Amino acid sequence: MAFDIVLGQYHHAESIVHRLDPRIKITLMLILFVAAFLANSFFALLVLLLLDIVIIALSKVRPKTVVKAVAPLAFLLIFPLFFNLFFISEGTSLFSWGAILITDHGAYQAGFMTLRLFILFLTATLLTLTTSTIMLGDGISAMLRPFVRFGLPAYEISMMVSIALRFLPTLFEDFDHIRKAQMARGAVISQGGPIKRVKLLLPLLVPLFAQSLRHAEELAVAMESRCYHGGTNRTHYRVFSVGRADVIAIAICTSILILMIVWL
Amino acid sequence: MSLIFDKVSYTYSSHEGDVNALSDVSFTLENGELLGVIGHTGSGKSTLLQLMCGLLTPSAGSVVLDGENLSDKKVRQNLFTKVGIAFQYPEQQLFSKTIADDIAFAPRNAKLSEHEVGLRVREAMKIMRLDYENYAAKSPFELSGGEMRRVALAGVMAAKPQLLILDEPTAGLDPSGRYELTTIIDDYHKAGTTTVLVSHSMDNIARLSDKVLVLKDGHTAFYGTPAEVFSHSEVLREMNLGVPQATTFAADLMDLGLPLPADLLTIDALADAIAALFHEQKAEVKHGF
Repeated sequence: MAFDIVLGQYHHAESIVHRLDPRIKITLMLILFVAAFLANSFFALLVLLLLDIVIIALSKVRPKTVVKAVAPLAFLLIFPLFFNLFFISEGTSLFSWGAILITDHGAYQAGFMTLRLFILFLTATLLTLTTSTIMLGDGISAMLRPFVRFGLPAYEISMMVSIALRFLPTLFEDFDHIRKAQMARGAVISQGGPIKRVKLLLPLLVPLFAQSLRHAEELAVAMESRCYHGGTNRTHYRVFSVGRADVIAIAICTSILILMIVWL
Repeated sequence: MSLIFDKVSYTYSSHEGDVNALSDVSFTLENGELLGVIGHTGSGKSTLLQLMCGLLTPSAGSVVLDGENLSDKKVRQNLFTKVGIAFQYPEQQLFSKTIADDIAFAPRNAKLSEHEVGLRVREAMKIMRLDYENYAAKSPFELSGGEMRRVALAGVMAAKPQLLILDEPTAGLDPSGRYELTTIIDDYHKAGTTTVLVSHSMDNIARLSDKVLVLKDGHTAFYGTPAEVFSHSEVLREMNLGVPQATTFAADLMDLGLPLPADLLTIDALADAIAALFHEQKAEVKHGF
């Protein structure tokens, strides 16, 4: 419908990125995360950005879709940008007006932190865009399996992640539905001070919670009626196997990580 | 309240390119009439309804309500006091601690006096056959599905809309709940409210509507009086929409050679026609001897 949510959603395409083993893809994401945190120069971050762009090109997901998927997270970028830009006072002054002081060091930090955060978002988005929730769930569960003996509820965690991703669009749809119904009864969504604003949100939030509980109840009944009982003794329809593409992908990403540690 | 759709189209963009949810739809609904809307999921019904109540504005063409164009932002302000809409499963919009508070939501948003709000709540509950003494102070979340539905609809009617839009108001109810709600809607419409009704029940559409609009893939498949629309029974069946039971039954009888009129839409009309035929034949038999 008119409400188009891409955040955390899977986009099907026939591509080498889609075909990679989900365990490998999760590992790749983690490697790239570590690389992004270790990177301490703009050049290093640009290398990672370039790598993400190559992955997008290989995945055959339309660039517009990628932009739409990352866009809802953009507001989170405002905080590092703002704090670094205005609250770092070391370095030479570039601009000052009253209490506002922007220094070259602050501007550099602002740009650097924002780019780093953006790369993290983009990398995580690429994983969810190219991996279906079932594959992702199975992948997480397979990767956590060794930790079951230490008491980690691996199956439950992977089930929770898959359910959360599965119900994200449903939640947005419900919200849109409720918002329209209340607007048709003359609801004003944003007006007045903070307390009044919260009060105005109640007609939206109460039905949204009620509806979410209803979904949860229905899902629980559906799972129980099919005898779902967690992970013990559960076998999988899909057996993962690491192929040549997987090895190459891991090799490329690991070498980039090592390069980053050694030279950059 | 009269409602005119003039060559209305609605396009939205998704990640798969532009989508035409509605193309070139025109109809006129006079004051006090009831428009029945039929169509499958994705036929553009939901878009059509949202255009009627100003939640969406047309990409092309115009939606005119009592001479006022809804593309004008000023006209859309406070439109909720004139146009009431109940979407599918309206009970999902309930949020207040008490039923009376929930029904009072729209009148309070219209900034009516508390006295007037109280009157509106009582009136709306009476229309929806909810006993005030019994229900007013209860929580809407303690009710059965059918009762919740009626509370939600009372919440729409409390704004005293001159145009009432109902999207499958009886979906998910048991037969007695469906029957009761249909009766309430029929009575309310006959008391003078212009109504738009989306329904999957061809029997109800045929019985209640003055005009019928059939949508298919965002286009008008058929538009006219119920008799005109249901005369295309073959095409409607091909579209998996079907025709009223009475019409199907009449067609079967006609195949057996009974000379029935062509536009029988309701069970009452069919019964009358069969009775008339019976009397005619009896008279013929008498004359014959």
